[in-house]
Amino acid sequence: MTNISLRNLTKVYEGTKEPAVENFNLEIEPGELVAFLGPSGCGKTTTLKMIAGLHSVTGGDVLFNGERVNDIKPENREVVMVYQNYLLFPYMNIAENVGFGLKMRHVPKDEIARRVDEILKLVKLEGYGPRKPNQMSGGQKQRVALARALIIRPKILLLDEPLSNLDAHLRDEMRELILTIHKEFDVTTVFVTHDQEEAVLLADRIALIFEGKLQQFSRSEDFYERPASKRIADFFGNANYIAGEKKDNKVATALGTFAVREDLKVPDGRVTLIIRPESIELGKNGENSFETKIARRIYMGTYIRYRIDMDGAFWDVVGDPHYNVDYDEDKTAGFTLPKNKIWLLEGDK
Amino acid sequence: MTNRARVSLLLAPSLIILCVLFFGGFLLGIMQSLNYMPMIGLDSPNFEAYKMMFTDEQFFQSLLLTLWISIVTTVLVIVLSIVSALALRNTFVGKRLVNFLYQFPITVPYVVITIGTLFLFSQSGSVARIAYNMGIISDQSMFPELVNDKFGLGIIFVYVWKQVPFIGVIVLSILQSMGNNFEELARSLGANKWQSFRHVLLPIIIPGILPASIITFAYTFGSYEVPFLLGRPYPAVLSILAYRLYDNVDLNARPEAMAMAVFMTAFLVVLVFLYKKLLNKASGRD
Repeated sequence: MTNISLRNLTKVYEGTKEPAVENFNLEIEPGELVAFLGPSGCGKTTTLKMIAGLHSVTGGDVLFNGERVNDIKPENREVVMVYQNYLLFPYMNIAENVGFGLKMRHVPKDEIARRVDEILKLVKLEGYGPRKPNQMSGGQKQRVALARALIIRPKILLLDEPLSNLDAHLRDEMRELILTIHKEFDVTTVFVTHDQEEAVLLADRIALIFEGKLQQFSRSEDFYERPASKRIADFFGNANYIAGEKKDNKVATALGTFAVREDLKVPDGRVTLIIRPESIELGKNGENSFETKIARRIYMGTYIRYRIDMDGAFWDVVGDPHYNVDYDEDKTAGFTLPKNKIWLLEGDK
Repeated sequence: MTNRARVSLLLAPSLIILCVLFFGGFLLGIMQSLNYMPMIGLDSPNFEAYKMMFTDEQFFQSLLLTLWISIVTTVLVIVLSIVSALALRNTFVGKRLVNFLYQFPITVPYVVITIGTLFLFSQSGSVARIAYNMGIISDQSMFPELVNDKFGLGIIFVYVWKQVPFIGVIVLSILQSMGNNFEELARSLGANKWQSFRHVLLPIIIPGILPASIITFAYTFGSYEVPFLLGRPYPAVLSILAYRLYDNVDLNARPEAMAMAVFMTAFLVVLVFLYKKLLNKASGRD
């Protein structure tokens, strides 16, 4: 199994001044399934292609198991990329497509045929070998693309937006297949996505990238509970903020003083308190409770969403899904910020 | 008015011209090639003209030369257009200027480049004179025969110069529309640069190149003015040989001229049919 290290990885495309990827530092463990997450044009596919050797590196290093591979040609890296739009060779049938990598390695024909049959069985496309790509559905094409990549037993599997061209039902199916394959082949896998839900569902860890810079690399829970910035918190769903002054383990805000966990490593001074709408409890339950006016009550079908007045700013609160507690608009109601759900960021900008 | 009737009406002017001028002329040609020219007393059709043509050594020498020029030109045009398109696909300083210069020959009339070639590359031309003045050759007659030569080099040069940008632009647009992804994918699957060109790029480009190369071949096979100016009187290419017979003061030579014209047309029709079969195979429609 292969470990991937990216050290100060930088890419500046010819004719541009701004780097597409800048000082990217990352350690991916052997056999790990990592997502590169970020909006379009943030540099995630560029990073993927630098790992594959398909794009040259402007600065920094790519290392596999500690060995620098910057100068190793893509065909010699044993890193395979699967593209969003499948890229099946249109003039080859499915068996020829799948066996392409083995043919390039001059594997004997009968050996190729045997391994193609095996891998097509694994991706549940047994008997589809003689078909042409234009006779396959989107989901089937993606499975062929995966089979074509896996047949050569790569050290690293790179998936570029593997689910984005599929409809919702096929996405679930493909997600399962990727997880099964990852488990069975035990291959270090990196996939690119702009969909945070997809990243959370599939990845062991997520690398969040904005404007070519790595923002945070951690488990998906950390992005919800311990975001490194307001922007990250916003990228992963809704978040409520209030500025305050931290002293000891309390934060004094315009709405009162809230107690926070002792293990938060934020120094005393100006801070931003963050809490998710779904983490706010309805009713006054002791510590960190307060009362405020319900500015709006929005019926969302499976739950009620409240907009509460926080001294001029408005916070979102997710209501009780069982409707045991239901507040009316323009009335005052009690809320509690559970201490263990509060996260702090340094500064109040 | 039905849609079909409207389409027929809109197409009618061009179809009438095509039918009268092309098919009418072609039919007349076939009749004359069969020795049917009542105005000079030939009123019993036969295959004499074809017999004469196929027993005429000059015809075979002309056919050979015509095929040589057409095949070499087509192959060179295909190879050079692919190579140039691959180079032009990259980003480099001065690309706009290079692009302009590359496409410039498309706008130059054949007769201009043909005469230009004659002035430049004949043994009394500018290049031979420069070589002589620089002492590279001691006599202008030592300059290699590049025009009016037995291999038709000057003719091939003109065709290649004119046609490479024409097919190159087609190849370039195919390459640009497909992007680099197929090649990148092939490389990541273990193909080296040559393998990725041979097994991935070429099969994708070929269906786009084939129709254009048919046009190149057909044009080269039937063209008149370039070999007239840059070729040798003997052997001459088929179009010149046919025209000479057509222009002969003896009207009895005309059936053979027409037989040659019909042969050239039939040859190209068969060729187009075979190319089409090949094209279907290349695009995976068979």
